[in-house]
This record gives sequence, structure tokens and C-alpha cells, in this order.
Amino acid sequence: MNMRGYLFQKIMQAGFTILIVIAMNFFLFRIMPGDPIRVLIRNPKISADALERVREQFGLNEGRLVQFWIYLRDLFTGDLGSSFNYRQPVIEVIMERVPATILLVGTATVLSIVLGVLLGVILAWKRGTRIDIIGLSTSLILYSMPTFWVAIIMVMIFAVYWQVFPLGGMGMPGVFYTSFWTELASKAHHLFLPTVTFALILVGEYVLIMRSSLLEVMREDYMLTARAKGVSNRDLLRKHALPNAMLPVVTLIAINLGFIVGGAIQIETVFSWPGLGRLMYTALTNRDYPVLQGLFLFVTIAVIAANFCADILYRYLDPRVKSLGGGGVMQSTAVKNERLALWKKNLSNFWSIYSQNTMGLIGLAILIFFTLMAIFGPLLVSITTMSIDGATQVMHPPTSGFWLGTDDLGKDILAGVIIGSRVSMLVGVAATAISMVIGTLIGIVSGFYGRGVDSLLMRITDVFLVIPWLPLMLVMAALLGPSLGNIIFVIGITSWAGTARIIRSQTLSIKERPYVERARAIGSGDSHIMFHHILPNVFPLIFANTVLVAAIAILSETTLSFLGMGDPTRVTWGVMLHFAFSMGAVSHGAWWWLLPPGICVVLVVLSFTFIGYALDEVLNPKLRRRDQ
Amino acid sequence: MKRLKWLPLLLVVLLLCSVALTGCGGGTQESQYVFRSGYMREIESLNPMVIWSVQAYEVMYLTYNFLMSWDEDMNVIPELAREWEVDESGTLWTFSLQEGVTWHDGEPFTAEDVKFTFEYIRDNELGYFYDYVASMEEIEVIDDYTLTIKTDVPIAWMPQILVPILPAHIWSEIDPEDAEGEFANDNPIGTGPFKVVDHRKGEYTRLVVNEDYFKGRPALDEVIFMIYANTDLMVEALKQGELDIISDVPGAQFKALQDANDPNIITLEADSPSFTELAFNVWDDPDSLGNPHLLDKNVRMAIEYAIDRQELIDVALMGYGEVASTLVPPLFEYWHLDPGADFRSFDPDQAEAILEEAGYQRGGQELRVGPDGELMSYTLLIRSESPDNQKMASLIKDMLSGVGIGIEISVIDEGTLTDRIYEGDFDLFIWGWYVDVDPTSILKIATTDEIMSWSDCFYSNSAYDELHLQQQRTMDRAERRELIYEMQRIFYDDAAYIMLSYDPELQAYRTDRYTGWVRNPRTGPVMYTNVIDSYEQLRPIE
Repeated sequence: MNMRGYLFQKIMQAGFTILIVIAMNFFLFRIMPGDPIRVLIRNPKISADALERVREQFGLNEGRLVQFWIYLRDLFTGDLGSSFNYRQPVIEVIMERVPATILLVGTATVLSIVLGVLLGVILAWKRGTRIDIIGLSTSLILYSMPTFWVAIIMVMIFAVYWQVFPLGGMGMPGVFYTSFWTELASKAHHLFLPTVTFALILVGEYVLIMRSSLLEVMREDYMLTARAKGVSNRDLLRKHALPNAMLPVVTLIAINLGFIVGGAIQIETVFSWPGLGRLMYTALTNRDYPVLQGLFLFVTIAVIAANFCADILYRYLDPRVKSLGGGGVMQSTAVKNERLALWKKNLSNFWSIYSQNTMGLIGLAILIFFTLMAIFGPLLVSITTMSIDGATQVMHPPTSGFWLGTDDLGKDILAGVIIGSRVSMLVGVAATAISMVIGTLIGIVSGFYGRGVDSLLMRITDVFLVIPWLPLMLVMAALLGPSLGNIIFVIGITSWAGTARIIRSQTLSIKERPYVERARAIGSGDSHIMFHHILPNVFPLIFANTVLVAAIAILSETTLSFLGMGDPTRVTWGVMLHFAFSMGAVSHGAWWWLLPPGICVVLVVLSFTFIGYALDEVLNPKLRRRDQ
Repeated sequence: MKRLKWLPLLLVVLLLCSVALTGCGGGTQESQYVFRSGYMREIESLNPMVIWSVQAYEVMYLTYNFLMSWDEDMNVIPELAREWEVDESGTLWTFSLQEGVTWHDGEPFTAEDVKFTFEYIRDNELGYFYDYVASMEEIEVIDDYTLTIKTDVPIAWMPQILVPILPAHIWSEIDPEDAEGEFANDNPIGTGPFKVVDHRKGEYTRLVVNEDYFKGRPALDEVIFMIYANTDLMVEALKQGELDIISDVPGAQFKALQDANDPNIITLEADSPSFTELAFNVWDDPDSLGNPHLLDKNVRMAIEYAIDRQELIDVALMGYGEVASTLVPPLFEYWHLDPGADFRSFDPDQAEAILEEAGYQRGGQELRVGPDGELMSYTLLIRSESPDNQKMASLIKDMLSGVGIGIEISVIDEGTLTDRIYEGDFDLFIWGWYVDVDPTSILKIATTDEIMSWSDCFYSNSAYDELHLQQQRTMDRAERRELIYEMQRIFYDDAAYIMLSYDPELQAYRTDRYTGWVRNPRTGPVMYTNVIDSYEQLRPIE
């Protein structure tokens, strides 16, 4: 396909995705319970006339379809409506906040890419040495940490304990600067902590991608040829390996944008940074639907546009990419398929290979530990209150009786962490199950029926792949109300797209196999074939993917609960962190309250990541070390 | 790969540079006397016609003036109005205004501005202020500094007209639809002691002093309201001296501040005009979705007896609060009624006795069964925004299970709760009110007319309604007080609310930079009250 045709097709795809997002954006906000007029009119004294006037002004008295039409019409004239809270045009409210977020996200992204690429190169080059192992595990740990939690820890250390950085905000209003440089210095000083925190969160993934990408490139034949020609190590790396290995990083930047948006919400909330993330959080708490709607659309379109640019850039950078799907998603699917085939061959000696992988064993051990804790822990402990001489000891540091101290109500934190493990893990498991069921169903149906069904379902899947997940989850959780069930539902419904993609391509190849033909010949129905012949064959793939989704689900639960979307009457690690942060653990220096739940989350997510990483090494023998 | 050895070095250098930047503070200068106030909720607008939050009101109080104000004993005192009198009929008011007051843009302030403001709000039914001007029949300008206002009936709360006076030369240009719509009023022109120069949503609002303020220029040069995304860092900013005051401090942080005993920080547990209540759905109507048991006054009274309010306050509010009884908080000493011996204080035995008597039997089960054969099991709705209310709810649940009443707690957001209240779709909920200086508005919420408007428990009692009308027209203060006492007595007796606690306003402020803090009323807070004495009187410590 020539470049113009490719462009045209990409534009059509992006356009379609945006259309679905626009429709979704509208109807999502109409499923909310209750009447927005109550938020608009905080004055119950208002007369019936005035009420009618406001209804009319915001178009609330029309039917849904008419409202949708008005919404579309306004949208194309750049009118996103008027904020309930600020009583200002939404577009102005949003634009006011864009610079702050661009500054933060831009600096952090550049910093993390530079660091990530450099470190990735070092690790790949030093593969198998102690540096590699340390670097690799650090990256995996960084990758597994809840963003807001790292931010809180950074604030606690650098702004509260050492007081070398400001507590938040972009600057100090009311201060005059004697020169441009002092002003710049003050700005940089305020920017430093949020940026470094953000970069820390992002850098792990870049290191990992750069490392494995470089490793693959270094195994290519042309590298051997170059080496044979006597090219020096330095030139080998700089001229031959790096340019090719950088390619996946480009895709990752675009794909990561959704993740970055989620990170911005958390970082801006902790650091009082007046950007889009804060705006979204404020709009959520004020039920300012027009702003939420506008923001969601704005952010999603930005992500789609970035993906589009990455696709084009990718093709320009790597002329080999000519396939329909083009981007990184399709590629990784293809790679995974290949790996699966290899895995099946190796299934018989799976355990013997897996058990040689230290990371995998550590991951498995951690997971078993927490699973046992979730099952039996709550039976063994109960949350007791610490009191000395009848007085409740609130936020008391650890003692011999209370190993992790107490919270703001004098309750035992250790018991909280143990009891919280059950609900946290349960949410993870349940959300993962929902996600897997949806993903598998859509994948199999899509791959099995092909044609129209396939392209429709895959377009929808694409939409879910690019939509920034945290804003979507937040909006849905806020609309549905804070409860455990809703959190499970929201995580499940937003995280299935990757699974669907992988299952679909596997189904495509399986349905061509002779036994499927035979089943059809003897008159088996579609559903019989799908569930008796195809499903068992994609099952290993589902299993492998579960690990990744479970990690995301646990992280999501923590983040949503932290942002106040959880059920405050249930103890989970996320809810504990939410209360720790809102009830004064930071200013009190109560590390014993902030650290343990966070560490538990990191460990569980890390265990999944380790297992996933180990599976990858097992499944992909190309990656295995030569000495094995 | 040797080249990469500089990388860790570079990182260290970068870090050191940034740390060194802290030392660059010498290059900055404070503009004379800047006062910084930290808060959590964004100021939604500078347009008085659309604002509703306490923070936005505070900025309005600083930029605009009212005709009157209150002294520390809550007596009405002059502000833009120098003096006033009312004729014998009680309906014709004459106001004499301050002379020589100018608007922030230099234009002179006259009686025309007052007339314009009241008529503009009355004719267009704008905002919260409409109630205060609705009964003004005729407003007449006698001369530049005198005007008369005629009301349709005598109004007892006059002259407490809680309306900011707007400049006619600016607002007459503004389409009334915009006034309640997208008019941002980003540069509010008022007569107040400070004027807004920089309003950055989500970041800060900066005000500079009005050099020509008619009550005399305040000593402060600037007042800046800074937004924090979370309380904890706001508290920390106060401790580190970045802020001069924080308010609405949660109990836990307040206690920590108290315990820390910083000599430069004063923690103020001030009386405030707010309370927290447990409301019942007493809507006696087929449309009501509430549990019919709760229409029985015996059940409501039994629940009140079964609740240990002091325990709620000690545990859920960290001890910051006062056991509550009637609708008007004791802060308003003159109007507050103490039920005395009639007060239903914690007595679970009494609760059980009432329930037995009224036919709610235990039948050997955990929960009692009502005369209708249904279990005594109700849903308690709680706001997700309030951790304190959540703690209260779980304590109440335990207390009620002791007398055989089951409670299911459901946490929902404020918006959803409001919707469910209006649909009558609830059994009980916990929320609170913020009470005006004059008791008329808080008493009004329980009148029959307010159902589907201010009322949130669907209470209806014709004797109460009649008293409410009567007190509005009784110009004699002592006589009016008797009526207001009676209303509080009736409402308490019917137990549609269980008043849980009168809540204090927890504030903390630094004393090493400014002095001259004024509490208003006498036992009240220093800021975020209905007056701005502190801002006018704070002086720097040299």
C-alpha cells in the first residue's frame, strides 16, 4: 500500500474512533443517576420560572436524542457547553489549565525517555551481570508502584522531612523576583519534585522496552555481519543497534500517553499542581458534568492524535511496516502468537524451565504468601484499638503489641493490612475475571465470524485500547457511585481490549485447523465449535494474559480508592491509603500508616509482573540465555 | 560503554543544583505585608450571583460591602448604611448612607447603587439574595445618600439585608441572564477593603488593598487565598510558615497541631453556626419510599434514646463538638432554646421500653418486629465526602443493634443523596446545616411550604408553620423570641431530626507575623465568618 492510501486509512480509523468516543462520551454522562439540575441550582429557593430558564439554558428539558443532536452540533462549532461550577465556557476552563499540565508531563516524559533509553542500553549491554539484575528489578519495582503513593513518599521525604522542596503548587504568589533568573529558579524549584516523581514512574517501562528491544536487535544477522566486518563495539551500538532498537520506544511513547494522563491526575492531586488532572478531580467532586465531558473528550482525542502520529512516524522510520495494523499492538500480537506456539511445544517441560527462573520463583512465592494471607489472615486477626489508661492512642508509632502502630482512630494497622488483603485481592481477581470473560468472548466471536462482525468488534476494541483508562474509570465510578461492586465492574469493563486482540488473532489461526473443519463437517453448531474446540486451545493464552491484567486491576483498585471512589466502609489497601493521606499521616510523619499498605500493593503487583516476565522468558526461548 | 559513566554523576549534579536553588531565596522579595490563607475548595466564581461556597463568599465579603454588619455580640451595626429607622407601621425603612465612599474604579458610591442592586436582584430573581429583597415593594432615592424602602409586610429580620451592594454603572450593562450565567466578573468592582487582581482557578486568588477604603486602609497589603489539593500538605504549609491561617481543619490534623504545641501556632476551636443531624423520612404520602415505621414518633424517639451522642463526638469527631438538641445552635445565645428536662439523653433502657410499649417486639430474634409484622431494619445514607459522618454511622449502627434495630449503611455522594432526598427515597441520612445569623431561615426548612425545596425530612406541622409566619412579622425582639422558642420546642418534640452535634469551626493560625485577630462572634472563628474584622485589623509584628 502506498503512503497516501495508508494515511487515508489511518485517518479513517482515527476518525471512527473519535466518533465512538464522542457518542460514548455523551451517553455515558446520561446514565448517571439523578438530575443534574440539582447540582446546577444549589439554591432550593429558586422559583419555578427561574428553574425552567436554567433547564432551557443548559438544554436539559429536551429529549435525549434532541440533546445528543444539540451536543453534536455544538461540538462541531467548538462549543463544549458551560461549566456547572465555574459558569464559564468549558473550553476556556480547560484551556486555562493546559499549559501547567504540558509543562509537567512534557518535562517528565523527556526526562524519563532520556534516562530510560540510557539505562536500557546499559542493562542490555551488561546483560546477565549484577548491574543488569539490579537495574531490571529496580525497573520492575518502579513499574509496579502506584503513582500517587510514590508522590506521597517523595513529598514526605523531601518537602516535609528535609524541607528542601516546596510542598506543592507552581510558584509562590505575592512574591516579587529581583530578576528573571530568580523567577526561573523558583519555578524550577517547584517543578522539580513532581517531575522527578513522574519520571520515576515512567522510566521503568522505557528501560524494560529499550533493554529487550536492543537485545532482540543484537541477535539480528546484520549485527553479526557488522561484528565480523570488525566494527568497533561503540560503532556497533551507535550506528547499527540503537537506531533500530529505538523503534519500539516511539510506539511506547504514544501508547503510554493514556497512562501518562492517569499519572498526571494523581501527581497533580498530591502536588496541588493546577493542571488538567486537578481540574478533572475537582470536576468529579463537584459533579461538574460539562467539564468532565469536555475534559474526557479533549484528553481522549489528544491520545488518539498522538497514536495516529506515532503510526505515521513509525512507518516513516521503519519502512518494513506495511501491514494493515501497522502499530505496535498488532506486532506484539504476532510475537505473542509465535511465542505461544513455542510454549505449547515446551508445555511438557514447562515447570522445569520455569523453576530455573529466579524472578519467576520469587514472584510465585510472593503471590502464594499474599494469597494465603487473603484467605486465612482475616480469620486469625481482628482490628483492635490501642488504648493506654483508657485513652485511645491515635497514630501511635509501632510498639511490641502493635507492630505497625495505629491509625487516626487508634486502630491496629497490621490487622488492617491483613484484613485489607482479602478485599484488595478479591477486587483484583473479580475484575480480572470480568475482563477475561469479555476479552475472550469478543476475541473468539470476532475471530470466528470475521468480516463485518470482526471489523466492528475490533474497531470498538481499538477504542478501548486508546482511551485513557484512569479518566474513564474515574468518570464511570463517579457516575455509578462509590462501591466495591462498581469498582470491580469499572475495572473489568475497561481493561479487556488487549486480551480481545490476542485471543482474536489466535482464533483466526485455530479456526483454519483441520479439526475445526471436521467438526463443522459433522454438523457442529457455531457455539459448539467456539466453546469446545477453540476455547480450549486459546486457554493457555488467556492464562498468560491474566497475569498482566491482574496486576493492572490491583493497581487500579488502589488508585480509584485513593481518589475517593472506593467504598469507605470496606477495608482495602487503597482505602487505607486514602484515609492515611486525608487524615494527616503525612504531616504527622506516620510512615507506619502510609508505607505498609503501599508496600503490599507493590509486592502483589510485582509478583504478577515477575511471573509475567518469567513466563515471557520461558515462552520465548530466543530470549533464553545461551548457557541454559 | 565507558562514556556512560558520567550518567550517575550528571544525576547527582542535577539534584545538587536543584537543592541549591532553595538557597536562591535571597533573590526574592515579599511585597510589603502579604497575608496567605490556605483552603481546599476552589473558588468557583467571583460573580456574587452564582457563588455558593464559603470560600467564594469570603472573597465577596472582602470586595463588596453590605448595608450593615454585626459586632462581636451579633448586634447589627452600620456599614454602608450610616443609620436607619423604621416608621410605626414597621414597613417603611429609611437608610442614611456613608458619604465619600468610592468604588474600586474611582466612581462615587450613592443611593442609586443601592436602589439599583435591590431592584436588579428583585426583578430578575437572582441567586441566593432574592429572598432578602423579595418583599421590598418600593425603593425610593431621597438624595444621594438617603433612600427609603417599603416592604409589603413588617419584616422582623430587617435591616439585616444580606446583599452585597453592586455598582450600578457596571451591573446595569449586564444582561440579567448573564448575571446568573457566564458573566465571570473577573475584576470585581466593589467598595470593600481589598480588590481582586489575579484570579487563577485551581491555583490562587490574589487581592491587594484598597487604599481608599472608607473605614480606613487595612495594614495588610495583600491577601492571597491559596488552594491545596489536600489537607495534609496545607497543614504542613502552615507549620512551615508558608501560610498564615488554615480553616476547616479535620479533627485528626487539628489534634496533631494542638499536641505539637508550636508556640507560633494557635489552634482555635471556635463555635460555629453549624450542626450535624440524623434526619428521618417523615413524609406521610403514598409517594414516599421511606420505611413506614419511621412515621411513628415512638420509633424516632426510641432511636434518639438509643444514641450516645457524646460517644459519637468523642470517637468520630475526636471530641470536637457539643451534644446538640434544638435547631438553633447555642452560638446564637439569644435565640437558642435548651430543652432542659425534656432532652432525650442516652438511655437504651428507655428506648427498649418505648419500643415494647408501641408494639415493636423482640420475638427472640436479633431484630425487633413492628406491629405490621416487618423487621425493624432501615437504610442509613451517608455522604462519601464526609469521613466523619461515616465513622458516626458505624457507631450508630452498633448502638441501635443493641436495642434491636438493624441499620444498613450505604455511602453515596452528595449529589446522589440530594436526588434521593427529593424523591423521598430514603429512611435516614446524616448531613448538616450552616445557620444564618437570624434564625428565620433555619426554622423555615421545617415548614410545610419548603417540602420539595429546602425541607429534607418532609416535616409538616400546621402549628409550626403558623408560628413561623407570626415570628417574621413580630417586630418586638423579646416577643419574637418566645415564638422562636416555641418553634424549637415543637420541632424537637416531634423528633423528625435527631440533632447529633453542634460542630465547631477548627482553625489554626500563625501569630509570629501578624497580630490583631478578631473573633466574631465572641466565641466564633477569626475568619470565614460573616464579617471581615480580622482582615481589617491585622497588623504586622515588626
